[in-house]
Amino acid sequence: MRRELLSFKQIVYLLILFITGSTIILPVGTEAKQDIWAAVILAIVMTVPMVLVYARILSLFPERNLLEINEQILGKIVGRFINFMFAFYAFTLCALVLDNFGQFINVTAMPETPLAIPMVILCLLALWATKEGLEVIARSGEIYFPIIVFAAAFTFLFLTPNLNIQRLQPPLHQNSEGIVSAALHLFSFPFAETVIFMMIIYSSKKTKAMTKVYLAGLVIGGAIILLSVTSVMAVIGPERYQATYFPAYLAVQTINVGDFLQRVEVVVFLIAIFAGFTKISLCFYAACKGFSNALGCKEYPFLAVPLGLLEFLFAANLFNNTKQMARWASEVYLYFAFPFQVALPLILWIVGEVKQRGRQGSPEVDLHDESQG
Amino acid sequence: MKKSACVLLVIWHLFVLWSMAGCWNFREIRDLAVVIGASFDKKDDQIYLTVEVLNPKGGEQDRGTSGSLGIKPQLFEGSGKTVFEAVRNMISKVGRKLYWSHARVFIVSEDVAKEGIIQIIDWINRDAEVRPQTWILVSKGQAAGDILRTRSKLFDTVSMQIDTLLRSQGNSGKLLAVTVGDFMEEMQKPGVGAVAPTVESMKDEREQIPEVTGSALFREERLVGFLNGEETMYLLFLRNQMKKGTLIAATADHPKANVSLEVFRSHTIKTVRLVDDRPVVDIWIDCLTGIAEISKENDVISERGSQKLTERTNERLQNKITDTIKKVQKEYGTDVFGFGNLIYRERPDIWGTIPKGGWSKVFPTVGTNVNVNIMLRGSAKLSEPTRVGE
Repeated sequence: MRRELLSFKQIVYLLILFITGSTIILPVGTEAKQDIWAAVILAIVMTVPMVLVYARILSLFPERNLLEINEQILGKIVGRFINFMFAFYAFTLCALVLDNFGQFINVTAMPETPLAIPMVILCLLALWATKEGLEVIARSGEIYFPIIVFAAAFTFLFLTPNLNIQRLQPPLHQNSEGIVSAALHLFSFPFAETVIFMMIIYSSKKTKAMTKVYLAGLVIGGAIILLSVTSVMAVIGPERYQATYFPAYLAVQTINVGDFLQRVEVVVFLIAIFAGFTKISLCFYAACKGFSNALGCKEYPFLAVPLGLLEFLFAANLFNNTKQMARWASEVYLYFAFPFQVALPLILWIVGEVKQRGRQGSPEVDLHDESQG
Repeated sequence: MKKSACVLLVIWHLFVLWSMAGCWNFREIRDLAVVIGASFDKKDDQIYLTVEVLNPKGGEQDRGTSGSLGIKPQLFEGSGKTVFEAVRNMISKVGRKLYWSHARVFIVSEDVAKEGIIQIIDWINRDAEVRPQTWILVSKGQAAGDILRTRSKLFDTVSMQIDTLLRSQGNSGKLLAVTVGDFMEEMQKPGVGAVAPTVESMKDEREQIPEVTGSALFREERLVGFLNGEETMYLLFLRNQMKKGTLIAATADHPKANVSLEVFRSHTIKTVRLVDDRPVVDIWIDCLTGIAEISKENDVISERGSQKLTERTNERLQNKITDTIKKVQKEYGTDVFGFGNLIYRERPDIWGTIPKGGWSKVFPTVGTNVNVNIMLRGSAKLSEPTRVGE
C-alpha cells in the first residue's frame, strides 16, 4: 500500500485547522463565564502531557500509525477490535462536526433550506477528499490556512473597538469549579481530539520531531482559540455568550466601522467552513482507514462512498434540534471521548514502552530531526 | 472520447453554474417588504404590531426634500397573541414576507414595557433575520404605533429620522442610545438596570413629529420610571457615556446670568468602599469644557472669574447628580448607574455577601460621593464677554 507523506509544516497546519474547526463557532467553556481565558489556558496545559504521550507512541513505532501499532502490540484480534472502536469514534466525531455545521448554517443563514443540504454538500466534499488521499487534504489545508489567518486577523482588528475589559471582570473570583469544568470540556473538545491524528500520520524515524509537531499545532491552535473566545466574551459578555448557540457570530455582528464596514458575519462562515471542512475530512479519512483496517482490508478508498453515505445519514439523524446538540456537547461528550482520548492511549503507551524495552533495551533516540511524519 | 467527455463536462458545469446559482432561500428584492421600523403595542392580550415598510417604487418624480431618497414608507398594522404570530399574520395584509434585517428602530409602548419587555425582546433577539444592533425605544404616554404615524419633515421615514438622531446622539448629550443587544446584556447582567431612550410625538407647527427625549428605566424586565432630558445627562455622566453636550452653568455674581459650557470630553471613574458595612461609591468626573455663551456682561474668562465659574459649576453639577441618584434610589429602586455591577466587578467579596436577588434592597441604601472637576478650555471665538458701550 502506498504510504502518504506529509511535511512537518502540513501536519502543523492540519492540527491548527483541526483544533479551530468547529470550536470557533460553538459556545465552548460556558461554565467558566468571564474566566474563559483561564479555562482555555488550563485546558492547553492539561492537553500537553496527553499530546506528549500521543507523540511518544508514534515515535516508539516508526513507519506505523496507531492502527498498525494496535495490531502489532495487542495482537490481531484485540488490536482490530480496538481499531474498530477508534474508527467508530472518528466516525461519530465526523458526524458531530458535520451536524454542527448543518445547524450553524441552518439557524443563522438559511432557515428555509433543509438541514440536509449543507450537510450533504460538505459530506460529499469530505468523501471526495478522502478518496483522493491525505496529501490532497494536507495541501488544501496549506491553502486554507493563510486565508483563515487573514480572515481571523481582519475580524479581530475590527472587533477591537467593541472589546470591553469590564465584561471579563471580576477575574478568577470563586469560580475555580467553573474553570476546571470548562477546562475539562475544552480538553475533550477540541484539544484531545487530536488523537485522531495518530490514526493518519506516522513517524518515519524514531525522533522527537513528532513531539515538536504535535506541540506546535496544539500551542498555535490553542492560542487562536484563546484569542477568539476571549475577544468574543469581551464583546458580548458572559450572559449572552451562554444564551446563544453561536456566540462568535453574534460578536462579529457588532462590527461597525464608520457605518460603512458592517454585516461582515460571512467571515465567520468562511473561517468555519474552511476549518470545518478540514476537520470533517480528517475525521472521515481516519474513520475509513480504521474500518478498513478492522475489516482486514489493505486499501481504504473503496470504503469512502458507502461510509460517506452512512456518515451523512448518521449526521442527519443524530439530533432532532440544536438544543440536543448543545446538550450532548456539554454533558455527554466528555465521557464518551474519555476512553479514546486518555484511557486507550495511556494503556497503549505503557504496553508499547514495555514491549520495545523488552525487545531492544532502551529505545535509542535519533537526533536527525528532519523527519517526515 | 476523452476530449469529448471533457467538453461535455465543461458544458455541464456551465449549465449548472448558470442555472443553479443562488441558494434555497433565494428571494428577489422586489419580493421583499423591507421593514425599516416597527412598534409594539398591547391591547386585550393581543400584541399590535405596526411596521414601517419601505416601498422601493419611490420613483424620481416623488423626490422629496433635500437629502431624501423620495422613498414613501407604508404603514401596516397587524395583531396576534405573540409577536411572531403578529409578524406572520401581517403577510396577509402586506402581500409579501417582511424582511427584518434592515430594521433600524423598535418602539415599545409604555404599557407593554410596564407589563414586561421579554415578550417583545425575546423574539427580536431570537429571530435570525433581526439584528441585535437595532435601536430600542419606549414610547412615553402614548401608543407606540402613534410614533410611526407622525411625519418626519427632513427624512423619508420616521424610523430613519430616529436612527440618524440616535447615531449622532453625542451632539446633544441628553440622549442615551441603546441597541437591543446592549439592552439584553444590561437586563441580564448582575447589578445593573437597563435603560432605553423614550420617544414622544410632539406638535410642531401643526404637524405631529417624533421627539426623542429622556430615558426609560427598567427594573428587571419591567419599566419603572422615566428620567427627563436633563436627568439623562447626569445618567450619562454616571455611566461614563457622556461624549459631547451642553452644560449650563450660572455665574456667582449675577444669579440670573447664565454661562453655557460645551462639553468636549468627559471621563468618569467610580470606585467602591465599605463604610460601616454599607457600600459607598465614590465618583470622580473629569470634564473638559469650553465657554460657548455668556448671557450677561460679567467676567468669567479671566483667571479669577473662570475659577469662580468652575467652582460654582462643580458644586451645581455635584448637587444635581446627587439629586438624580437619590431620586432613582428612592422612587424607582433600579440600579441604572451600574453601582451593583461595579461592586460585582471590583469587589466580588462584597458582592458575595449580598444574598442572591437582594441587590434591589441594598441599592437604595448605597451611599454616593460625587466629585466633579470641570476644566475650562478657551471661550470659543471671543476672548471677552460681550460688553455694552456707555
